Amino acid sequence: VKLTSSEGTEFIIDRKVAEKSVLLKNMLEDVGESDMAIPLPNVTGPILNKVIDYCTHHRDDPFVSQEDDSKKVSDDIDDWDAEFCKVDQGTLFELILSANYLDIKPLLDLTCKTVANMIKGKTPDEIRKTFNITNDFTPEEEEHVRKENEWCEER
Amino acid sequence: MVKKLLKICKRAIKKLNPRKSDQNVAQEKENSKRPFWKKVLPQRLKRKRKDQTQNTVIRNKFKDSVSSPSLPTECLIEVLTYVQDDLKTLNACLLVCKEWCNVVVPLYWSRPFHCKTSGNVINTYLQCLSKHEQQNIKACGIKLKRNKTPPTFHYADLLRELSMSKLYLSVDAWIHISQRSIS
Repeated sequence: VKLTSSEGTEFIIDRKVAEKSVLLKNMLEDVGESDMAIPLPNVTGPILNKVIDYCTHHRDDPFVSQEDDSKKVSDDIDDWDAEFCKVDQGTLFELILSANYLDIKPLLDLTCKTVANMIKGKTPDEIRKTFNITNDFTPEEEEHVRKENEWCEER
Repeated sequence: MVKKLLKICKRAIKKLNPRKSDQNVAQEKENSKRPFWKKVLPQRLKRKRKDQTQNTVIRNKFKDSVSSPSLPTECLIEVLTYVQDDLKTLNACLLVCKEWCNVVVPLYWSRPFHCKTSGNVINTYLQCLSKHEQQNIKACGIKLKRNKTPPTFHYADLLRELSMSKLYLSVDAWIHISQRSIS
């Protein structure tokens, strides 16, 4: 299967690897075998490279059906996956976006868990600094929100 | 006295449930007075959730984020579901910025009795009541906290999971708090 990233770089991968992405899987089923490259205008080359790495490593994993009600824990990341996620924040976010776009649930879960672990135990200020977010609350609004949700703080 | 209080609170919470009451109209009116971001959000989030379960991708969201890598709301929801049982962290997320706040509040209030029972939940619910209902409660001799501005969110609308026994405990805790503040 041929894929082209947003800059037009071509990637050739096994169909099995490509089918990790539900988007590509459906596309391949609809279109059938074809020599035409599938354009992925939302994914840059380096990110696509990472995504392919992931899909190649996990190519033989069974497809896990989505169970929304199962308890979500973020500390069940294996070594390879942890190593895979040791990238800068911009890359990590782009991986999340690509996983979402390409519909690769396990990759989306993994990257989201990684971000969740970055948030854990931090104060609002630390979170803002980590993700470069500006606080757009007025002090008054912040106080209101805090007050209305103060039950969550209680031990 | 205590029994009476409980009854009233239960009724009040039932009323808060948006589906059945004609009070909806009044709420809507109140809604329209609120600033834009507060008003729009619950619906917008709901729609996003739906989109998510259908596995559709909101493409124009992507366009925005290619230039500056920040997470679109649907991804943020995904991330924050992993910390939803960690109240301390979630509470920090609440105050990061408005966008995060809009994601966290529904997480909290979809099942406010899940993790703990607290009287202050009831306080916030009582604030969501209309003026008329608050007056009715006051007429029964129950003191309510004064609030000049309407609540930031319509918290009661977000309720998805209700445990009657925990509600009972929360009201009980609330009675304790209010008695303390009166005496």
